[in-house]
Amino acid sequence: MDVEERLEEIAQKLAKRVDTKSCFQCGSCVSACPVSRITDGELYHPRRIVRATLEGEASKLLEQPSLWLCTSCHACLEHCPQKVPVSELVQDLQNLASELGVTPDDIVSEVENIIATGWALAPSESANKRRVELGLPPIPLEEKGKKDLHTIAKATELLSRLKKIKEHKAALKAADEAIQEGGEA
Amino acid sequence: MVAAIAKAKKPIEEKPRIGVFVCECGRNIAGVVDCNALAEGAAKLDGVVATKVNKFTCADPGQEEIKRIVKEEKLDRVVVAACTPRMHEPTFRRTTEDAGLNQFFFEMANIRDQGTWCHASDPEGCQVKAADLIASAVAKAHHLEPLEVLKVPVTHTALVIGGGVSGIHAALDIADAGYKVYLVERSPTIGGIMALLDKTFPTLDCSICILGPKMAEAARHPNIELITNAEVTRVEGFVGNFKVQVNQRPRYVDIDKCNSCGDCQTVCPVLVPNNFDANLGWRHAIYIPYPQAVPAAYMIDPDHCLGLSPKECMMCYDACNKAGQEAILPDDTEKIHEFDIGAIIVATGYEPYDPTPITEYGYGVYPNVITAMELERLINAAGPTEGKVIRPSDEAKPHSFAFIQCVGSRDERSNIYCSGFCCMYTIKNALLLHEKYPDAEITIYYMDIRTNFKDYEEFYQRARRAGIRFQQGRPAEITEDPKTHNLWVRAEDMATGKPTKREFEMVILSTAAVPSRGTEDLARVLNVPVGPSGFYMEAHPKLKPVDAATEGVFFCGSAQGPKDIPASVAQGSAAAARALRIITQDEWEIEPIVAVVNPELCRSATGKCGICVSRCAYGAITADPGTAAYVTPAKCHGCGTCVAECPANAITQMHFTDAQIMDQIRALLKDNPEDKIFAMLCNWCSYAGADLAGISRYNYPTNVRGIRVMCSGRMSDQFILEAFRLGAGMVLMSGCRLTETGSDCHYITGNVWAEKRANRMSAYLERIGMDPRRFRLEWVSAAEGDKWATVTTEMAEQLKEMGRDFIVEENERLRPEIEKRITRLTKREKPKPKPKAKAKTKSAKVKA
Repeated sequence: MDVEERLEEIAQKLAKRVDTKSCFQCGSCVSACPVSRITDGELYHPRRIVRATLEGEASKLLEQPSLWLCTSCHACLEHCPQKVPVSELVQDLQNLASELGVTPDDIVSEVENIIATGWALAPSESANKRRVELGLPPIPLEEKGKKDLHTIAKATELLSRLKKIKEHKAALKAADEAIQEGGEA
Repeated sequence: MVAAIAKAKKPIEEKPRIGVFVCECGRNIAGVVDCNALAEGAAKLDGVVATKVNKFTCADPGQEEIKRIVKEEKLDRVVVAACTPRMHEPTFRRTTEDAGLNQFFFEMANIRDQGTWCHASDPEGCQVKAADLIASAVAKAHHLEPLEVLKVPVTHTALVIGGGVSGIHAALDIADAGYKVYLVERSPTIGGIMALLDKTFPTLDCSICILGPKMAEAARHPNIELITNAEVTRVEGFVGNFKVQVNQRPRYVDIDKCNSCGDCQTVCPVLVPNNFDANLGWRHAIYIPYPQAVPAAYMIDPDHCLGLSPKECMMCYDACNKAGQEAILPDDTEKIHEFDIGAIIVATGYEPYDPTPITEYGYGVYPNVITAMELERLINAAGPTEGKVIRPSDEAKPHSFAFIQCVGSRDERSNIYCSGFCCMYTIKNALLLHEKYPDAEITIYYMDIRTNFKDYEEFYQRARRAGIRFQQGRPAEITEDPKTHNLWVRAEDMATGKPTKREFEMVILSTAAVPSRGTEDLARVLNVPVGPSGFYMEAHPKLKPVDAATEGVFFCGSAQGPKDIPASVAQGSAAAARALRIITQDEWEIEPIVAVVNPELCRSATGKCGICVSRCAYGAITADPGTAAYVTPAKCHGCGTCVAECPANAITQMHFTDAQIMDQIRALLKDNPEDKIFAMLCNWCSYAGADLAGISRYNYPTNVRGIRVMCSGRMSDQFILEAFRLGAGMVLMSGCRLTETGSDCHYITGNVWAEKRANRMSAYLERIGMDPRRFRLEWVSAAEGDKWATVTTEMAEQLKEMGRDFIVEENERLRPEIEKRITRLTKREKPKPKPKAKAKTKSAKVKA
């Protein structure tokens, strides 16, 4: 099955789960969204994400790193007069992106951090050293917790998903290099 | 009248000669099905001697053709396969009569609204369905009987409920025509919401200046009896013959003696917020809502007065007596009026939506967030600030204003409808503010600007040219600067796509229009339906915009849906004209679809029964023990509930007889019954809802076969059992909504009895081992076309799931038991000398 077919299948599944058709583009989500406010609507724009989905152009959004700026605060959903679950749509798009292996590198490493340490941004050794110097207890990295996290990640197929993403990225990179080499040659 | 029915009951001896006229309705029908094939098929049906296809049967040439063919072919029954009988049955009944036949020798097959319009995606299935519907109409035509219309006397008076601008105009038009009008108003003054507004759009003329004279005219018109502070509490009877009870709360002031000098209020020690000033100003316990109130008399608010009973303060009383008026009546009591009324006009209007639940705008929390109605009172020279617009937080003059549109409208969380006039009133208010404070910065936040009537777009243009800022984008929230009480409005600017945050000194919420408090209660009193938005529902959205489904009741103004002033006035006059059609007559014709008792079969004749009496919501039946039950035709509304409930099958409903309906069922289920869903629909809600599905072009499966009866109360057990005996895949009973909050039944309680019967039927079918999915009861209102499509689609899917073989097998297995049951039910037709004993054995049997 090629990517386009897969996209179509996933888009249909998504349309069944999230009803965006009643969106009348009023912009409540944009003015409610903390990320839109901070980025002045430049980087992350929920109304345009819904619009693109309605226009059947969701695939164009998938490789954009801005898709991952959503904080999942659900303010868009709460403020929507048509009850369009914008944040759920974004989550679905994120899932779709990861399924296709186009998750940005920083998100991948963040997920790996969580599985390995329980922290999205794991405290470094130097940070813990500084804490001790300042009279604060070091942040523990429990062995048992780490083991549990690994079990969960495995059971939820997060590990295999990560593996696929990495493979996909590696393949892309190899292809890029091949093209470049070909170009040079 | 009874003689007319008795005469009508005489059976026709010879075999009927039926003509079937298939309408193409332009491409509406012919675009989906082959009308010639339908006519050819109809020609093969028993009794059909002529068929004809017309482009438009309802047009003059089509009607002339019916008349010609009736004469040429000596037809005595006319069947038209076209649109819904709710649309053109009256037209074709007239044609039938013009052709020299009794008008009830006409039957209609609805192959458009419940055919081609909802099955465009399945033309073959639709063709089969249309043929079945025609066969069903022909089957009924065989049993049609000539009937005489009933004539009832008419009381030459009208009742108008609600004294806003629409009700006032309705009352004045009827009164000017020379007929008596009772104008009942809940509040102490007529005038409604228009009397509270400052200026009107798009002309900016003063609201009370144009309404005031009309209010005064209504009060002094010799044909209008004005009853304020009063509510309609009971309505009985029918078109031309309503009996209405009005409860009038005590005013404690004699309106004839009060000269509104105001001496009373100057001495009154009580001050409470004035609800006529949107609670922004104060009034005393004795007060007049506003200076131009009609009647121009004070009243005492008993909830706040210090001492009416026992008499305590009495300062107003003394002041009034001192002035020599003696107008105050401390012992005033509630008055109950009863009127005989020919026609009723409901003009109960709307009220502004309370935006408190929309918490993101902070109404009720931030003092400088106000509603448009509050602005109307602030900007009004007769208002609490004498026209000065000031901030509630500090009474300072604001320099910047924001208007937010669609507050409580177009919102799934409150009301999904558009209130229609808010765009215009906001533009008006913005222009008024601009006129008052030319330097003020004014922004209107909107999603869409809707200015769709004469001179409205020009008004919008005028506002833009005046420098009012329009920003497209619905604000997500308002926050307040706690020190200055200024407000921050956050909204996307759709033009640039950027989220914006602007500071304003005052924010005005353009709130939705919602049905007046008490709309549902009055709907119940009048036995008329409200639509999904809570406003009264008209009989037809296009062609009967001011008629209620109940004959003799009309709607006008915002009671029927949010409306601006010109539209409300136009509807007031329209409703008056519709009401005058009735009350100017001495007699009014009503459908003779009444119930008639066969005294030979009636159990009451030989003993005691009275079941029909208890089922009739109109008190139309009497059945003293030892005498056969009798239905008073003028009181009978023709629901047929008694017919279905009679244990002796002694009652017949004219034009909806068992014989007619049974043969309709047989015709519909002649071929492939296992694949079909047999549906019974009540005329007022479900049939209209199914029509609406067609009008809205909702597609649903073609295997639904419906028959129309007047009320779900008429849907007899025999019909259901006969359908299953014939092998129907599924049976659906559908009527007006019945919920915990009440019944929408047009015959008050017909659906209550239908539900009881359906529950018994479900239990029985389950007991004999039928899959419970095969019998279903659903409430579908006239506004729920989508629900009709959903329900039938769901049922068709279930039917597919169960599979043909399963249905056929189950039918084979259950047929003997169902046949036994049918025999038992029909056996009751014979008179029982000892009904009591029979009843006992029956119940014993059930127990065993």
